[in-house]
Amino acid sequence: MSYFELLSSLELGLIYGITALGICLTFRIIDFPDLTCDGSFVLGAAVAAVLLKLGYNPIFALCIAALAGGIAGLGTGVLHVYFKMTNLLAGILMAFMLYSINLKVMQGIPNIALLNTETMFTWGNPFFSLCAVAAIVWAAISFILSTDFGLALRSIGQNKRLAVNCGVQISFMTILALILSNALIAFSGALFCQHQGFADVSQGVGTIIIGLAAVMIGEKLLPSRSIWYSMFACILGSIVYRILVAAALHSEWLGLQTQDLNLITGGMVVAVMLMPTLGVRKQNA
Amino acid sequence: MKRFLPIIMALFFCSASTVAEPNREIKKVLISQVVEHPALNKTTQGIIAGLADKGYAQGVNLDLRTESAQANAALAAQIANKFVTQTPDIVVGVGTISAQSFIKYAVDGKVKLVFSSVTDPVSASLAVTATQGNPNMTGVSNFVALQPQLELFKSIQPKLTKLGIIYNPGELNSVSLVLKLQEACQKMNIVLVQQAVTKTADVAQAAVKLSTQVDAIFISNDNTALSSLQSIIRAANQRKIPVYVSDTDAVADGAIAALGPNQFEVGKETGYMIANILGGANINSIRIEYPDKTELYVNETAAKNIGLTIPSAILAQAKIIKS
Repeated sequence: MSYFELLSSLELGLIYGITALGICLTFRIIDFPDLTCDGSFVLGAAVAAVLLKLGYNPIFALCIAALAGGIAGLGTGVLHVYFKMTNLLAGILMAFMLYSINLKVMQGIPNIALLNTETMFTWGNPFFSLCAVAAIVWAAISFILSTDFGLALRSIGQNKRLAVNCGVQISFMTILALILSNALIAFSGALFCQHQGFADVSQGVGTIIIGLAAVMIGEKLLPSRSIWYSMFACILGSIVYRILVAAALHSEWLGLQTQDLNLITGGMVVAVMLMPTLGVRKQNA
Repeated sequence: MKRFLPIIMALFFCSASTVAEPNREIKKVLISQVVEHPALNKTTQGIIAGLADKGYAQGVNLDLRTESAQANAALAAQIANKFVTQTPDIVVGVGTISAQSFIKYAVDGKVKLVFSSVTDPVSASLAVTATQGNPNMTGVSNFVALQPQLELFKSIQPKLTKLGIIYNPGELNSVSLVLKLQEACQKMNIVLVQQAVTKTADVAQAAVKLSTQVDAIFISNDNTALSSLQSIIRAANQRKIPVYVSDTDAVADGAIAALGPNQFEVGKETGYMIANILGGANINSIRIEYPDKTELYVNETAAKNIGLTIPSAILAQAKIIKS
């Protein structure tokens, strides 16, 4: 694997790391399997692409994309909390509806290319910009989760009954977490579209798998109880996942073909998961 | 078992370090295909055949590799990235997303990009005008002139007034085609009835609904509709209306007629273009090509099944398929 490929894996890893943070927030922190992400990722890309085409500032586009993702998360939350839908169904339904909404946002054009359009990556070195963005998001989320508000949020996933007894408003908090999570995912979708130079309505396929794999790899590599570490682990996991994919792309010498790629990548993820845990976990086993 | 794990993992990971050594005598052509799909696979096969015609044979003076992005944009990006680092002579993007994943490298002059099977290169940012590609890009579109196709339908069915089309609004190719088709239909006094589908699972229902409203159904190069062509043909047969296609390969699957190139030919033209560039031609002076050889295919058995008689003048020019 060359330096250039490694760099690109790092960049994609940082972008999807923000998705992984969002997924960690729902799946892990509040224990809500939210499947909205496949839709909200594209929503972020779509909103950003349309705004950039209209000549808006790339950073402004990122923020509006995150806002749009937050609204999508709000939708899922309302479906779950007020319409009493199961969490899985609420997310799937929202992602399903978002497909049409995304096409509407993109004015019926399923693929918007951003050639000759100013993006935040035309300003300077993409890797350093992404590092900065990921670091800011990481710090912000970790900080939010370490406040009293964050503790209340985390208590939902740990022990719902206790949280209720302590006066945590479960439904309100669940909705807030969904908003935050989908805003992050849409934000990373917007980054992805700026980085790659196009938005496509089918871009979100597999976001959930990529994100979950990243979260799990991160937990494996950096098992920790501290929220700052475990949030960092999500981003690290995402980078490792991207490096695994890049490595899998080089497996032709094993006599494998392109259609085997998912199998190889999956196999590598399993290999990482089976890796003898270093340090901390030993005493639990 | 645990003892062997590190060895297994090492095997996996060291795959990363094997990079083919560049050999200047051997031309390196790397193809990124957006998804495994019969029509696109034919295009890729066509590219290989086209290169072979021009004397480039795999393993002798050509190092050709194909990767499929499995319809995943992030994977397409990583494949593009991997290809760029391997100092290829030419990269080929088959399908819109795969072609687009190379744009930023081509603009920077890191690679020469030849795209194939992209219906509308201009809206995909691959080209400035219909014939002039962006810097370091050119290719072959699979856009087929619509007017002759509509004329063909009219001569088979003089009473044709309502034409239905099933397409996926998520495919850029199809969306730009439908826009052009609307214009063409207006000129011919045909009403175009559009039916959108977002996935193959929706096609059966959509086809049944559409078949009650139209005199004929037309399927262009839409991946979703073509993947479930059989459901469309079944629905159309029940109402005894014909299904026309643009891809001549699909006629053997039960469509009535097609006037177009086949995807293999599109690939072959791409192959010739690549050979031309490998031979030293300047990529920026090569114009984007559109399939020039259209062939007429008619499926006689399918026509008989729905009680449609095809004029002998058309049969005389057509390649006839009986299935």
